[in-house]
Amino acid sequence: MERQDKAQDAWVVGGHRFSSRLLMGTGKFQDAETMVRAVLASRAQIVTVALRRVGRIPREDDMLGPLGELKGITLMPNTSGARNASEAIRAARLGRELCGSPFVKVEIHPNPHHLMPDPIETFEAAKILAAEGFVVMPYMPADPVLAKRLEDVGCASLMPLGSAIGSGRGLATVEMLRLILRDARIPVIVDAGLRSPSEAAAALEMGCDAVLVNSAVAAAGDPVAMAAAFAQAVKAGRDAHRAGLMPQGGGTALATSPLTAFLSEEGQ
Amino acid sequence: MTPQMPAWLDPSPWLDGRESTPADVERALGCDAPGPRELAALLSPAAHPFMEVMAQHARALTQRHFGRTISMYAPLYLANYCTNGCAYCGFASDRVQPRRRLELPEAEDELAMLKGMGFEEVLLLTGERTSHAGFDYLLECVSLAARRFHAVGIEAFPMTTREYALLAEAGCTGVTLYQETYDPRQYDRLHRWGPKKDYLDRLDAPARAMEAGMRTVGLGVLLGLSDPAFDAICLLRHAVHLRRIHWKSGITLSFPRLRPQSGNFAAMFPVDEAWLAQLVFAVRVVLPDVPLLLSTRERPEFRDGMAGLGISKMSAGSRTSVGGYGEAEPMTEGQFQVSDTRSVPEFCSMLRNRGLEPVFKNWDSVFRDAAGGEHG
Amino acid sequence: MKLIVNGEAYEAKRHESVSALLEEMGIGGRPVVVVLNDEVIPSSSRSACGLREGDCVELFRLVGGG
Repeated sequence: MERQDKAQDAWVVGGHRFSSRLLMGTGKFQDAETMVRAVLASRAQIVTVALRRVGRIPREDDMLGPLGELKGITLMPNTSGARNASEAIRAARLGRELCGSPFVKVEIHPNPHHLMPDPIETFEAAKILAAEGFVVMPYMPADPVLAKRLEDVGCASLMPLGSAIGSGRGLATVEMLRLILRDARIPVIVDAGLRSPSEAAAALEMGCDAVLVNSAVAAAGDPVAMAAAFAQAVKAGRDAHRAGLMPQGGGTALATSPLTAFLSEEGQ
Repeated sequence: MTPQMPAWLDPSPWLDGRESTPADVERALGCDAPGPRELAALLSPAAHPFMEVMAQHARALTQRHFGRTISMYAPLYLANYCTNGCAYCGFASDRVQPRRRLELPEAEDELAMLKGMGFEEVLLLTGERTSHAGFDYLLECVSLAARRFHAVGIEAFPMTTREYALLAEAGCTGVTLYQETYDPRQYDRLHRWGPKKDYLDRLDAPARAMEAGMRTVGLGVLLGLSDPAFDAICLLRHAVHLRRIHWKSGITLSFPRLRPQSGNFAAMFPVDEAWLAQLVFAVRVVLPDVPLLLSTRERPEFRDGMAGLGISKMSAGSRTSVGGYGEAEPMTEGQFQVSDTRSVPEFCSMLRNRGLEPVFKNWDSVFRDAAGGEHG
Repeated sequence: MKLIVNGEAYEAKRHESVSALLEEMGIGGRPVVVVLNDEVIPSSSRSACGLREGDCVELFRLVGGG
């Protein structure tokens, strides 16, 4: 399959190869040091960052200075705060300037409460950014038709939500995720809604290429330990997927044959 | 020269599936997202003791996606002119038999007969593109049929995207084009001459039809021409490939077996009914929501047993000769021998006795754009 | 020189270049992106890019985000 490299079990997004299947968000941590230690513990190779205006009084809360010095981590700016496509496009261009990376997580959520992504604005922004050469990774509702639409306009991956951001309700969209996975030609990353490592493992078991977590780590009792736990869960889930789950409610051989009796009467 | 199979079609990673174990078969039946590996296991000899279980799965999945219904369609042979040398076909250009095409008024009469039999979906068939029955002729026939039928399919020759778009505009809703066999070497051997020798052009044609906005595309292999497990895996991979790219069109699959035909070509890889049933059950398990077709090539007892057991769409009362519906004694030979010769009412009453409702019309074309095309 | 920085009026003492302004604001060495009158100024052109009265400067930095 074009979205996976079998031998190394690496996955490829936008022509870039990664071995870690856990992506980390860097928001909502109590301090920069914990965040950096959590990112290291997670072994994530892609971390998301946000863009904000510089305040009038220079602040010393630079969360990302230490991250920039870490080798082998790709910074992926998101477009959080954008309420429509044109704001997201602007944020993406600025993010590219700052991070020097073509990756962008397009996220557009006009409603400040549930933060559900706007499918129409997300599609418009993704279309334009993909044409500009960005590696577009859209945060999206778990909608199989939108998934194909986004794929068709050149997105590098799909990032359907497991449940609402920060809700910790896990893979509430599992049936829709199955449909998305079935037909996807680009990596599928479950983004948002996960609470526990077992949910991340379940996403990988069912064939998702990766997961992105933030709140589940940042708001955990011990964020660094939780990041490590997610790393193990993602690895276990992926290994389980490759190993092939045992059948559930499969079949056993049956002696009686009420449905297939007609086959023994062949009159050729 | 033997054509090269594209990587997305190549079944070789799964061909060792014929050595599957009963545990592999169980795993395949309980798999959340079955694919070629599972299909290969379900087609293997290890699956024989699981036939009844596979039938139960097939019935449950068919009911879940299609209800207790069977969609009905009828073939209509427009012409039997052909320039191809398909070794297995009664219409091949070296077969001695009268050639004819339906003139438009005759086609109109045949369509009226089918409509009178209750059909709302018709499949128009011709041979290879010839001066007698070329694209323009087919286009006229499609326009004619689209006035009476809500669903008009064609089973003819590979066309350009532009031609498919023109047909769609004229009211064509489906294109059926079997690869016959996906094995490039067998394909080359059996298609002795004619445009059909071009394996890759034929392989690509369903994608062109979908790109042109065709609502459904029918794929299939003619069972008997080569290793059926090889062809089945390719058929699945072809369907999955198309579904991923052309996600706005539907796919249907057919499982025609080689029938006695003018030319008396003997199947090199004969497929018996039990194997055909195993194939249909297995494909239903890996493709739960794809319509699976069974024609009147098969005998009544087999068709009755398979209705709803994976199979969701069937023809009935079919004639496979040109002008066959209007004539008591057909002037030409059929493309193949019909095995189930029951009338439409007889067939429908059989379905109803088995708790299945024959459905002649599933949707109406009132929503089609005024221009006839699909949105981009 | 009067500028608009991040939407607010700002009296700049050093305005011979964008770099000088960043120094004056105490964010000289920090990773920021500069948008001058709706145009992104690449970091390589900051020392050559002068400022004019009334220019609109926007400065962005990276923060944690999911």
